[in-house]
Amino acid sequence: MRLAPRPGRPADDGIVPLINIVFLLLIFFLIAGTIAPRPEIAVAYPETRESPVTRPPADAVFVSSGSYISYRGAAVDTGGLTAMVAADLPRLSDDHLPVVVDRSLPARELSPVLNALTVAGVTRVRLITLRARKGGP
Amino acid sequence: MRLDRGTRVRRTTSLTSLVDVVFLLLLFFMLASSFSRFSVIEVGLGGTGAPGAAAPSALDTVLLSVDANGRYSVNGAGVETGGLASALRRTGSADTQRILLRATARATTQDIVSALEIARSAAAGDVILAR
Repeated sequence: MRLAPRPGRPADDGIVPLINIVFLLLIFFLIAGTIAPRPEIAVAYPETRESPVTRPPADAVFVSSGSYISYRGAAVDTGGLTAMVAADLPRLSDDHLPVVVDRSLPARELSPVLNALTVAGVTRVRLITLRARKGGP
Repeated sequence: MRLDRGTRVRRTTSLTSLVDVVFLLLLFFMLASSFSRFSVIEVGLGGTGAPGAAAPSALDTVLLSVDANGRYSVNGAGVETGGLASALRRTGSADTQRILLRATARATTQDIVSALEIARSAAAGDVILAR
């Protein structure tokens, strides 16, 4: 059976399927993706396999492999981090500060950061990691 | 006042602006969304805390040393990666001990995180990161 093309609207025929596909793509990205904040410094997340999954970290302390610290979008040193975290501590939910540390940062360079957080009054932190894919290396 | 009602409304014009907006939305979500799955490990920092809160002396402290390449030692005795959880459980339970995680100079954050994950999944006591 052949349907005769509708006369008079040649432009619609190409656009409507296009919109359908774009809508489908839009819905896919809306549902499948989560909007993640980008740190100002490059941080390679450490990997874990079985820790509980969480949402992307918001307002985390980022520590890069070169010991650069970024908090709330500003580059800070350890003294500045202490001051900012101490000021934010009353607002932090249950005192669990999210911390993202580069996986290749040597442990001895992590100590000053943890010291700065302790001086600010933080007793527990939430280390944010990437969940490794199953069957990965 | 009489408004002239248009008799011939062209559908394509409104459709084009709709496509524009949808394209912009699509572009935004494509660029802003991430498909990474994040996970979280909670760890104590020990240190000051609140003075007099929860006497820590009531619990034994197990020293877990983390070296590079997944070499661990529990209270000075070296263990392999596979035996770490059972070694931690052998020394005591969560009611009797806490685990003090100390990293050597060669260890990286990934080594610490891997040890933390094993120690937490062993449920053999609260883990505190030594500084």
